[in-house]
Amino acid sequence: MVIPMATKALPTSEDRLRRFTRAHSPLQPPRFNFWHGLTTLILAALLWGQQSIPGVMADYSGVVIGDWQAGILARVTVIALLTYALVLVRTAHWLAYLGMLGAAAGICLRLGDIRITHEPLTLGFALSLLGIALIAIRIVLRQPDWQPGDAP
Amino acid sequence: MQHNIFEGLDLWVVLYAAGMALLASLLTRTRERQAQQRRGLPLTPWPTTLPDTGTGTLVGTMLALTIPGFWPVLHNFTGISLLTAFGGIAGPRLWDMVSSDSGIKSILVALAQAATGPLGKFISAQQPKKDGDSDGNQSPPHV
Repeated sequence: MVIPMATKALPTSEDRLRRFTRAHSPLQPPRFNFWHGLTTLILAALLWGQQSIPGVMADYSGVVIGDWQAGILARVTVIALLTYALVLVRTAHWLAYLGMLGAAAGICLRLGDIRITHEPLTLGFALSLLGIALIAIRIVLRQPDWQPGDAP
Repeated sequence: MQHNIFEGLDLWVVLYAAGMALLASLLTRTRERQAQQRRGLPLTPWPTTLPDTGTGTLVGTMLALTIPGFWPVLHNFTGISLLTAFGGIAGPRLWDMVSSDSGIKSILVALAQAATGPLGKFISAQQPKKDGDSDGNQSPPHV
């Protein structure tokens, strides 16, 4: 009878202790991969830019994407998506509820301004609106952890 | 002055309603399919979004055409686009609500009340009760 040779070294007591700690600590963030590094770099570059070259950032922020009607349509679209997620889908954490309500309130305040000033849609606001719209879409698409019909 | 409700209809209203209806029905269908996949049920096919999109487009366009006439606050670009967006998104659900029995009944009652207004209430209050009072006693006819 041939005993197979162990290809890996046996875990030391230190390894066992590390595994035990990892398995029993409540916070287990995913591994820091390439994309997290890229995110960090982009955030650092943007923060450096607003601190060191505010004029350039202002110029890019003011790049006109559409006229005032496009701005109103974009905001109305985001408000409709938020209403869809908040009222018709209704499966959000209460923090997400508060966040989306705050976003809708801010957009409505800006909307009142834009109806008077006829300000065009600019890059800075378009990016903010895109972020809010993606959160609403995520809330719509997300399945709750437990649904009636699932095993308890 | 007679006002033509189709006067304000531009192509962008229809296109915007169609876009919002398509977006909403795609999102709803994706959510449904995820729930079905999770329970191992057969998946709803993608082409079923098309009727929903059509309903949403129709409802959004009709809301944008009709409501600002009754509610002048909404008779501007923002109001019309809001009505179009909400109609496009909630169109299929509104359609389901209306096509149920109690839905069509409540809408007819509301329409009748809107058509007669406070005058209708006054008239029905002034009309003599034909079946007597609440106890069923009828007053003797005047000769």
